[in-house]
Amino acid sequence: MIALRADQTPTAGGEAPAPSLDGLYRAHAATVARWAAHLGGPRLDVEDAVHDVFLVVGKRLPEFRGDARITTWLYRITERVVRGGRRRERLRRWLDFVRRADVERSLSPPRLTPVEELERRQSRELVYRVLDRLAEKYRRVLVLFELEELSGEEIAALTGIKLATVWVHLHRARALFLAEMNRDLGEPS
Amino acid sequence: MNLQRWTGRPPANESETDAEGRAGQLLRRAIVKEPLDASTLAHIHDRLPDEHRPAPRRLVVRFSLAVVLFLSGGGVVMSATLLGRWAPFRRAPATAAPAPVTPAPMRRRAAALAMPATAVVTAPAPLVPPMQPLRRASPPRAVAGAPTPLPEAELAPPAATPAPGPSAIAEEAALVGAALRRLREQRDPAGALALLDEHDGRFSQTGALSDEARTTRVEALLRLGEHGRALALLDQHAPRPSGRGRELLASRGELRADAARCHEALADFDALLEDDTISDGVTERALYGRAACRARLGAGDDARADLEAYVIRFPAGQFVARARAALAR
Repeated sequence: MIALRADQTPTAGGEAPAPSLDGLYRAHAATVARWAAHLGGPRLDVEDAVHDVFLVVGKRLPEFRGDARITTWLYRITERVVRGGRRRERLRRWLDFVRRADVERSLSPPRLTPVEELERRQSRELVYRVLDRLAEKYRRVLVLFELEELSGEEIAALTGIKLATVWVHLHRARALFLAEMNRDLGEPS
Repeated sequence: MNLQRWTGRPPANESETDAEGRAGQLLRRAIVKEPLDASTLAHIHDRLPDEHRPAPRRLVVRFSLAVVLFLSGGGVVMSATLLGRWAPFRRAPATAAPAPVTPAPMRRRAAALAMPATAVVTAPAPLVPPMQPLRRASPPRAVAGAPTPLPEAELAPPAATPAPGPSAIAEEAALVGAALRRLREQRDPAGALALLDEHDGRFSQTGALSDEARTTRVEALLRLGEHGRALALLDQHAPRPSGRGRELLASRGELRADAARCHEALADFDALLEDDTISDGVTERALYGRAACRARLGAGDDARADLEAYVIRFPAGQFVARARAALAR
């Protein structure tokens, strides 16, 4: 197993050992799961997403040349997979498919669930309802800043956009989020 | 640049009128520290080497294929009609029974968290009487081999009960989907139940989505506080302790425990805990629920063993404080 640090940059032909799928999985699977959960929201099947991400990683690993940091590379794959998952979810809803996952998730008897858990679930649903109305570039920086608690520099490194752009997007995202949230809560913005 | 996170604002600053404070509160609740536990991650890892499925395009491909088949099917029927080859169909109507339509299996289970009733833990109750026969909420399904006499109307020739065609399944899906939306998005369990009644009236015999309809009905009943009816429904259709049935079985165990039917609840929890390689939210509920039931039935040593196992297996579990407190006593 190759245990890579989050900021380690492996190179295929350089001095650092080429990463293996197994090593990458062990070092980064939990982080990928957290990214997926935060980017996708409550409707995303995180287990599916992590699996799909590492299938892509396994397929593309030989092509990885180390131009980007491994975390940036993984993050971009995760983002693409999550975006695909969200698109499929929207398509399913459009086709009026019965969402079995929703049925399952909803099975917990409300009376048996603690109030905090219920509030948490409702808040999460509201947050992602609002986030879904934001453009992808705004949604992304807001999620990474507020939920992943990354700094502007870290967001820039992970997403590959300029630091100044990160701050611009973040300001815009926050304003839009507040406006949409107030609209959802029926309050003047 | 130094920008303070909304999620980093102290809760004391939040008030009803402070939009940023409220946003911070909502976003804080949306933070997920560990979306998947170690065993789930290990499970994904195990499936990685020999599984290569093109998931992202699957639904699109399936839909495109359905459209192509539909169009080509229509073309065949039209050609046959125009060529006058439709006579065999008119002379000999098909009598073979249609293959039963079953819902496609779930890709994955979805873990959900819930907890057994507090009363289960704190209020010991007497032993439970044997389960009473329950009234059926909907018309009973025909059971093979059951010598129940049928009314005349049900002895009509097969042609009288049309098989569910694609359009019937689509209608059924739309109806169940509408009930789900009514329940979850509009928070109207009574409205959802009305739609489900309509579903049962129209598709009770042939419904391909009767499982989903039943599951939705259980949730609607629970939201209305109709726990007795929800439990009766779960009693009628015993969920299996695998896949999507695990969640249902855990709910049934908790409802049975809450209804002072601990012996039956124990059977549900035991079934869920049979596979000790699974360690998810349902397992957590089952282990804690079993401890509570055992304590209630006077099996103190067994209850203690379950609580000790719970603390070891779920050190950050939602009942861990209570489990520790119980063990300390």
